[in-house]
Amino acid sequence: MNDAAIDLQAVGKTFRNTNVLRGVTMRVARGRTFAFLGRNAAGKTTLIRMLLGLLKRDDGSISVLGLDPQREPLALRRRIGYLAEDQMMYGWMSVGEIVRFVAPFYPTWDHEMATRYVRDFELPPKTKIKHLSKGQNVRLGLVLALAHRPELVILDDPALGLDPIMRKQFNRDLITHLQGEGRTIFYSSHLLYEVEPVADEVAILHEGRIVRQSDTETLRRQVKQFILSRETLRAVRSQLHILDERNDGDRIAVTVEGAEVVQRALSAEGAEFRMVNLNLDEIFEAYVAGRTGEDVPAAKPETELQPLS
Amino acid sequence: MFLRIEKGSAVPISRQIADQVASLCASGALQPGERLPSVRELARELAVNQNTVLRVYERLCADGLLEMRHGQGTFATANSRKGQLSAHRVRLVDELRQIARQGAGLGLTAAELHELLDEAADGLEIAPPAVVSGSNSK
Amino acid sequence: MRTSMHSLIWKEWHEHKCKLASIVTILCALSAYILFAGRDKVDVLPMVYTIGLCCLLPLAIFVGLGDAAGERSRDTLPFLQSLPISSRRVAATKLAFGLFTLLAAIALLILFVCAWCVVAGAFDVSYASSAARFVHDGPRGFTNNRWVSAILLTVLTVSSLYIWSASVGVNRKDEISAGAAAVIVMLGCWLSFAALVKLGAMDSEVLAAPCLAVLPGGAIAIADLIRNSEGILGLVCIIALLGHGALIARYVRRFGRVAERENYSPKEGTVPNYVLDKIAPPFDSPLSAIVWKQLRESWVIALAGLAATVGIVVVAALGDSTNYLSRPKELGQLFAGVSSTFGIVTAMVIGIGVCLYDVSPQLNTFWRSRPIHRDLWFWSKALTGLAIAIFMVYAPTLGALAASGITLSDAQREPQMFIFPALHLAFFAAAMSMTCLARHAVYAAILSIPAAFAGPTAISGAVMAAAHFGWLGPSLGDGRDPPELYMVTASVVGLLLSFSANIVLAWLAMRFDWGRKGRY
Repeated sequence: MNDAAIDLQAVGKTFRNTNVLRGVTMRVARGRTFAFLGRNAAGKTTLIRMLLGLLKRDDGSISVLGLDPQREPLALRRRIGYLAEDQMMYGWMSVGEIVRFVAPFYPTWDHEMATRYVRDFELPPKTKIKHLSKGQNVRLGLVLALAHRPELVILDDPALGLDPIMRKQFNRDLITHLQGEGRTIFYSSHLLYEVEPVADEVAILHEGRIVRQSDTETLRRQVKQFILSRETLRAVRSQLHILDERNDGDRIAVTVEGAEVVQRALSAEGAEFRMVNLNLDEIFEAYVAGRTGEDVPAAKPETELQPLS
Repeated sequence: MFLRIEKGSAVPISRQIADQVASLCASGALQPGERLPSVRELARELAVNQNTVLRVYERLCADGLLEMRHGQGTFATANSRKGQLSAHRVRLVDELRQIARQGAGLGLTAAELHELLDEAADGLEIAPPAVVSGSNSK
Repeated sequence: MRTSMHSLIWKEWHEHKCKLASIVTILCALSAYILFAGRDKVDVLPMVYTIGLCCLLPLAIFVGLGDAAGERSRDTLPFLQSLPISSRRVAATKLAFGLFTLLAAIALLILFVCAWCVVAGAFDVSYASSAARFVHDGPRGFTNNRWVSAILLTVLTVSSLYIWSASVGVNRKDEISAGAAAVIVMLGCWLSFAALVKLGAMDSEVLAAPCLAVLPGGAIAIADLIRNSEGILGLVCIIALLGHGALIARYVRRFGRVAERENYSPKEGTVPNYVLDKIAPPFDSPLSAIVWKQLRESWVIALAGLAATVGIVVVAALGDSTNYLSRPKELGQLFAGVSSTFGIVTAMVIGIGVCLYDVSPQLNTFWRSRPIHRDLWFWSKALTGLAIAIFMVYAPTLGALAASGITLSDAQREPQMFIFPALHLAFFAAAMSMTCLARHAVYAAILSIPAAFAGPTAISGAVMAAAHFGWLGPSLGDGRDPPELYMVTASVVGLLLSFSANIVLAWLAMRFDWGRKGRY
C-alpha cells in the first residue's frame, strides 16, 4: 500500500451546506501520470487544496507520499511540486529573484537544475514577472515546481488560457522533464483531448464523486456506443450498465460500460446491432451529462427525406 | 519519420501510432534496418505519454514488425511487408464498411459500390495479385 | 424604467456607504469619548474639533485614493469600460459620491455633537463654557461667526485634500502606489510654496492667498490672510474654484484611460542573448529570503513616509523661519512634534503595506502552497516592518532633537511625549491586523483607528470608573477625575495593550487564514 503516491479513502467536504465532495476514493500509483477530469466547479481544485493541506477535509482519510496533509503539511510540500492555474507570483520580482527567493525553503533544491531549466525554457532572468507573457509565466511556475526534484507534481489546470502552440509546448515539457524522470504527475484539467495523449490513467469527477477511474486504453475499450432496436434494448436492458441513451427514430443509441460483455450478449441473442467507438470527449460527456430512462425525451416525428433518384 | 496524431479521435492514440508505423513499414518508407526514433524522442515530438509509445513499440516488436536492440534503439525488421496484412485487414474492412454504409444510405447497390472501388483504385499503381511465396524482390 | 445613471448611482452608493458608515462611527465614537472624558474641562469642544479635523485629513486622502485606484486594484476596470457608458460619467459619479461621503460624515458628526450637548443638558452637564472658549479661541477668517468658520474650514480643507488625492492618484495600479504619488506631489507643492515664501516672493497677500487657495488643504492657512484684507476674498474664491476645477477635470477625463501594454517580453524563439545572464545563488536561509522580500516590498512606502515627514517639517519651519531658525531648540521640538504626529500615518501605512500584498487572493495561495512556515513568515514580516517603521519615524526625529540640543531631561518634563511612541506601535499593529482581516487598503486604514484606540479607551475608562467609585484611594476618588499623570499612564498602557493584542490578532489571522474571503 505504500506504493501509492496518493491514496484517498472516502473523502468528503462540505462548503456552506453544499456537498462538494463525497465518498471520493482514489489511488495514484507512483511514477504514473494521472489525469483528473471534471467539469468546472466539480470539486477538482477543492480536492487539490486538500492534498496540499490547504483545506481541511470533513470525512475520510488522505495519504500523500505516505504523509497526512493535515498533520504534516510542511514536510509534504517540500516533496511536492505545485503549479496552479493562472498562477500569480510577485510581479515586482524578476525571474532570477523569485528563483533565489523560493530556493531556501526546499532542502532538496538543485540550483544548477533550476538555472538549466530557466535557460531551456528561455526565460530572461532579469525581466520582472509582471512583464512576462502568459506562456512564460506558466513555464516559470514549472521551474519552481521542478527544481527541487519533487517526487510528486500536482498541476491544477495549468494550461488554462494558453494558446494552442503554447499548450503543445507545455505538454512536451511535461513529458520530457517530468515523465522522463519517473515522477508522479497529478494533472487536473477539463481539456480532455489535451490530457489523453499525456495521461496513463484517468479519473472522472462528477458532482463530487469519482464515477470512473481506469487507464485510457481500457476506458476506450470498455465504454462504447451501441445502436439497437427498441425491442432488443428491452430484452437486454437488465444486463447493461447504461450511461446515456439517445433516441433515433425506432432505434436507440446507448452508451454502455463493459462493452465487451455487451457485445457478447448481443451476439448470443442474435440481435442486430452496430457498435461505435467513442472519443474521450464523448465518453466524458456520457459520464457527466448522460441521460437514461425517463430522462430521455420522446422521439420527435422526423420529416421524411426524399430519396435521391 | 512523419507521424500524425489526431487528438479527440475515436481511435485510440496507441492504435493510431501503431497503424501508421505499420503502414510506413509496409509501404517501404521505413526501410528494414532503419532506426526509429527512441521512445523519448517520439514521445516528445508527438507530445504523447512515453508509456504509450513504449507499448506501441513493444506490441509491434511482438508482431515482428520491429526489433529492439539493447542499447542501440528500435529498428524496422525485414519481414515488414506482407505478413502484416492480417492485422491491417480488420482495419481496412472496418473502413470499407463505413463507406459501404454511407453508400447504402444514399441508395447505392453492391454493384455500384464495386464500381466506385474500381474507380478509386484506377489511379493508383496496385500490383496485380501475386503468389505469396516469401520471395520479396528487394 | 431604470437608466444607466440609476445603476451607476446605485453601484457607487453601495461601494461608498460602508466607508461612510465606518468613518461616521469612528468619528462619533472618538468624539463621544472625548466629550465624556473631558466634560468638566473647558477646552473639550476645541479638542473635539482639533482631533476630528486631524482624523478627517488623512481619511479624506484615503477615500480619495480609493476612488482613484480602487477599480483598477480590484481588476473591475475592464468590466466597467465594457459597459456602454462614458467613463467620464463614471468618474464624475465617483467623485460626487466621494465628496458626499466626506461631507456627510462631517455633517453627521456635527449633528452628533450637538445632540450630545443637548442630551447632556438633561443630565446637568453643560458645555456652555467650552462653547464660549471655542468662540473665543476658535478658527477665524471667512466669517465673523466662529462656528460657521470652523465648518467652512473643515469642509474646504477636506474637499481640497480629497480632490488632490483623487486627481493625482487616478489610474494608478493600486491604492498604495496612488498614495505614494499623491503624497509626493502634494508635498512638492507645499515645499515649493514654502521655498517661495522664504525667498520673499510671497510677501504680498494678493499673491500668497490665491496660491494657498489652490494648494491641497490650503484653506487651513488662508483664513488669517483673508481676515486681514477683505477685498481679496472674491479673487481667492475664483482661483480656488479654477484650480480645483482643473484637478477635477483631470480626474474625470483621465479616469479609465489605462494603456495596458502587451507584455514586454522578447518574442519567443528569437535569439536569446539574455540567456547568458546568470542567476545569483539562492538565499542562505528562509529567514533571509523573507526579510529581503519584505524590505524590497516596503522600502518605497517607507521612503515616501520619510520624505513626507521631512517635507512637512520644512514647510512648517519655513513658514515662520525667523522664529525657528534662531531658536534651534524650538525647531527641534517642532520637528519632533510633526514627525511624531505624522509618524502615526507612516506607521499605519507601513503596517498596511507589510500585509496587503500577501493577503490578496492569488498571492495568498502562492505562498501558502509552498513549504513556508507560517509563523516564521509572519514574525519576520512583522519585525521587519516594525523595524522599518521605527527607523523611518524616529531616525529623523532623534537626529533633529540631538542636533538641536534637546536632552533627555528636557523630554522628561513633558510626559505626554511618551504617548507618541505608544501611538506609533499601536497604529502599526492595528493596521497589520485590520489588513489581514479586511484585505482592503482603504477599509484597513479606516478600521485601524478604532482597533488602535480600543486599548486606551478600555483602560482609561476603567481608571476613570475606578476613580469615581473611590477605588483608587481617598485622595483621588470621590467623584473627581484622576489627575493627568494617571490618565496619561493609562493611555500609554492602553496603547501598548492595543499593540500586543493587534499583533497577536494579525498573527492568528495570517496563520489560520482568517479574513474576508472571496476575490474582493
